[in-house]
Amino acid sequence: MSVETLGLTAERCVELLDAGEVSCRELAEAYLDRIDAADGELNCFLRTRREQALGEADALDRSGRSGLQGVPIALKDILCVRGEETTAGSRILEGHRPLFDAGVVTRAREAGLIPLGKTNMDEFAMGSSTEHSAFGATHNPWDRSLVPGGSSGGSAAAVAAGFAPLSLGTDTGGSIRQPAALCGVVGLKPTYGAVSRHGLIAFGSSLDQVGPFALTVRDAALALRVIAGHDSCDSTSVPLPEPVRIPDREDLRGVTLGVPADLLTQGVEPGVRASFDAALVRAEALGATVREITLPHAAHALPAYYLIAPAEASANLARFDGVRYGLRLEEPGDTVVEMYGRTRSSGFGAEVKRRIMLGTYVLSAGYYDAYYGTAQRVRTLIRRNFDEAFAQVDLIATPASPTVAFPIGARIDDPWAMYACDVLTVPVNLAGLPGISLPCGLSEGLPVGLQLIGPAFSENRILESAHALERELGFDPVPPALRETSA
Amino acid sequence: VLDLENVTRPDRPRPSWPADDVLAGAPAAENGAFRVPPTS
Repeated sequence: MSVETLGLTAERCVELLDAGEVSCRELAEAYLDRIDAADGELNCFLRTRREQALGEADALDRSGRSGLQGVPIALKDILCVRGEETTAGSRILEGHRPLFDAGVVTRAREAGLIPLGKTNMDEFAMGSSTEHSAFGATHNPWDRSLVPGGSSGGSAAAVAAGFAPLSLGTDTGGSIRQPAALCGVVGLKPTYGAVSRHGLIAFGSSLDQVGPFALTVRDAALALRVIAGHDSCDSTSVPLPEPVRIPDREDLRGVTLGVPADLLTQGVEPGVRASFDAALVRAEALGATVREITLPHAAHALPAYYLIAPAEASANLARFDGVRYGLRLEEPGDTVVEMYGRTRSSGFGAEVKRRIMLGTYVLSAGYYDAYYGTAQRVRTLIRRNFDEAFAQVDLIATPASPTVAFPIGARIDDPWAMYACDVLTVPVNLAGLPGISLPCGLSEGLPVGLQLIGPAFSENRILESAHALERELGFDPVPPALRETSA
Repeated sequence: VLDLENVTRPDRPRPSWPADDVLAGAPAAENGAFRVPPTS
């Protein structure tokens, strides 16, 4: 049976496998063939693992399968896979083969998911467009001249383009939710601590979190169920208070949505605002109560984030020095200090260097309290704002991105314009909360993402409401240009 | 003095990564160690 992977959900993959209409090998081959045929124009994948994936599929076909076993998945290249190249989108890690699997990769393997390959990303997850990859930009499947968002742009675009029914990304300041919004797919950032960070190459350790991309909210729940929970290799991970449920709710009766009006003044495009407002009307039609709230300190989240995250990055990236792994130049210099300098100058891209320098500066003696200390105090205030808000409402709704996908190259030389992409998502990371982006409509023919934010460990509440809204909105996640090509 | 209980688990010694595996990813290694230029 030939399988059309465009628009194929993970749930439908399971149905096809369960019914024997397709084998694990045939399913994996269908996705890999589509990647081979079409990814040259999009650059979602840095590399695929055809031989290994088909071997794993064959093993499942021989042994028999159940559940999610045999469903393909794509992995952001920041997640370590034992013995397989993992670069975090950086020249400095080109050729690096980790000694172990990331915790989420272990869980994916245990669930029988079949990793198809590693997806493109902004270098070390620093960016909002996937243009900061050392291996070329990823293009948006809705329009190849546009960015897919970032930093997990390869993972988001891969799901939209029918290259994988599921993918994993990471979200430090919006790097799952923003590309999900720009590519018209679902992206979930779990509560900090809900998913293991073991084997995730660290950017901002108090902010990083792994989460899924999918075509539907139910698929995202299936993937979250696989990856969530305590991992003894990550002391910040905890057991979930309740199992992840696959949502089936069809209404929003009894749900109060809070809309932070003060945040919506932060550069939100009129078309994005119109789609967002229209989705809120549909939410009310499903029985939700929508009320205005305030998050008074959320407007300070972006500057606080761009002090805290670079500070953590400057410490985390100190390990890339040409000694233990990755790049070392042919002529490293006469002393070890020269070697450090040459390795890092050559191996890191401009945006990573910018953040290392910024982070080192704000942590330096004499400036620590003025910058880093102040930012941490702002972080505490933002967390309290959310606590106060969730005493009044069940979930908070905002657009996930203030804009739709923008042209490749439009913001690459303007760091502040690029950082502004995260204005609606970074408050969530600073507070350690879960958030989802689901497509809620179109503006200028491009997808708009609706973000639902909940209290810590309220993933089930978020997923139930998102599923009900998704049903009501009826968004078609298949990019029209790809549907025409595929027909 | 304080009515507190240590909640950390006891240390459990276990083998570390094999040196050869760790050195396999290094840009330069020699005699079971990372090779780097002199410090000065």
